[in-house]
Amino acid sequence: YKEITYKDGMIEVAPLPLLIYRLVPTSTYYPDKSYIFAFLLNSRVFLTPHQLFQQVCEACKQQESLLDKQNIVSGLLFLLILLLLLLLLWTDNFAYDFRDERMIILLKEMNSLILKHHLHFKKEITIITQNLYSKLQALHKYEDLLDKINMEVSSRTNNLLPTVSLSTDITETCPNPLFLGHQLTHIELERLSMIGPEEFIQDHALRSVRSDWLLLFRRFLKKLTNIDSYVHWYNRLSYFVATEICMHLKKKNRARMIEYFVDVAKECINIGNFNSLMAILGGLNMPAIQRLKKTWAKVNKEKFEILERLSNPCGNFNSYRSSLKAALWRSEGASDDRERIIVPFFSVMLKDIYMLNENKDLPDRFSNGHVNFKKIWEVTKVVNEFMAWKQVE
Amino acid sequence: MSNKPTNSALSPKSYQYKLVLLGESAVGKSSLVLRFVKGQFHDYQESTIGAAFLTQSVCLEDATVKFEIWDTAGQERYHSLAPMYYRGAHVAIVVYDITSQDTFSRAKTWIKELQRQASAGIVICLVGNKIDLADKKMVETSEAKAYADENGLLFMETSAKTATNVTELFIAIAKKLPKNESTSHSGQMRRGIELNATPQTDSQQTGCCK
Repeated sequence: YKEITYKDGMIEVAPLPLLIYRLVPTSTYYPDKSYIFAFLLNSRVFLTPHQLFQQVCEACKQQESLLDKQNIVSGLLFLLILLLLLLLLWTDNFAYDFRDERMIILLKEMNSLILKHHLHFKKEITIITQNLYSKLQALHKYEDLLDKINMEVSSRTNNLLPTVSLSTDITETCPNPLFLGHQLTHIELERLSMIGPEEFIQDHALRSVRSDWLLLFRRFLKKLTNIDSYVHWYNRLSYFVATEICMHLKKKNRARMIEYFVDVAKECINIGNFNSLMAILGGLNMPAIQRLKKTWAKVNKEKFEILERLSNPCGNFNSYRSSLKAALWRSEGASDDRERIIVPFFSVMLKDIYMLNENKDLPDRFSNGHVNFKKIWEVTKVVNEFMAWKQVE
Repeated sequence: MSNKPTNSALSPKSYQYKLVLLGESAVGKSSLVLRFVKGQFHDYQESTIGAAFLTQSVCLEDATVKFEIWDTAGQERYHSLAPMYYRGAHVAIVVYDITSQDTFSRAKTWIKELQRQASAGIVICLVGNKIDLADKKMVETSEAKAYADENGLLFMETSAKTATNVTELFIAIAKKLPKNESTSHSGQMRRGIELNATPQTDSQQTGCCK
């Protein structure tokens, strides 16, 4: 493996075929989990998941027949266990890759390869398969739900008449701002949990992949839209805040609404829900709200100003980033799940990955075609943080 | 760090300004900035992304102008973020792609919003990027120039790819800025700066302090 360059024990530069080869266990070698995750995540910039799985399957079959011929029983067992582990990691972290039916076919092939030698792995295989199907089903259900919500939203927006004043507002549905903060956090966590790590790479992958493969991508892999929906949710929350305030005809009531939402935002910080916090502040900062000078004159702005400092983009959201660090620190020491909740300000994470991809000094490949694994580690680091947040539910 | 243009005792004078980049996604906002700050780009990627942000200075004959650059790239889909970015900014660069009319219309919307909402003395610059793709040009120079003149904006066509007009753009902005402070616009400019130094005492809110 002379062509692979390492730094501090981590791969830095390598040709693509070798990287694929390193994904495949043998009787004496096993890839570590962090490598598997990083490469599976980023491989789609270079080839489709199906192309990758095909090559991995081929290599596994070769290994298997080699060991089988030589009758190396322990080596074969070792290989099959590691293959199981690889399948588990793939189906668990990148379940959405298996919306492509050809992936399922390959998965079945690998399953029978394992069962051919060790029938008692049936239990593990069943677990892997069931887990995969329940994830795909959940995605399907979630996409249906989003369709319904979107239809509802557009019908309601069309029926909004600007001349009719508001008969009910959110304070009637939910008088306690703390309670609304909790409800928003539930929604955030649900939406966050549906986002697959591969979605962070998807857009960049579609831009970088060879154009003839792009057709394959499009044909077999419906674009994932969970990030889009999550962004959409954020915008809706901002507009909701602004609308609820503007719909009131009386200054006094508008001021009351502003204070209500400030309290909701404050509770969001207490819980560690930075995304709703920013969306609410975004709503309060909309031109339509900011120009209500006489309304603002009636608002006690002390709390609002503290929150505002947090949302200042100064120093690439320095203030937010340090609050997030503090919240993470608190979360690590927490005893129950509720205290462990962190909902990051998602936009900053998207921006960080975007900037990594924009960075011309950090190309995906070098001029000799070798893969820049240093970049892969950088991108994976950001996505890994997200995976940790997602796990708390 | 103070956001005020700092007037050092040393000659030449040095000023610091907050600059925000707006525009549709994929028009080349970050490419423009990265091209401009190339010298410092390395520092940027070595340090963790979080702590770093982009700054670059332009040396004029009589002054040094340092820009603190706020790039909205990668966050365009978040509609309510922009006001947080442009509030208190001294300069806004609104970028469109010369091969796309849509991005030009969006740029005009940004400009309208800035004129209404941003600090009074803000210098707005309209930039048509990607002139290396001249054969696919959809937005005529004359059309954009006329719009810019009508609205009192700086205007330039650039290519981040070939570096055409990139430095020139920032020099033009730098030249416009310090002049502002010493001319009759200084009052306006200072108002803009105060907004920025303590965003809480925004003009919309000062009226309400008891």
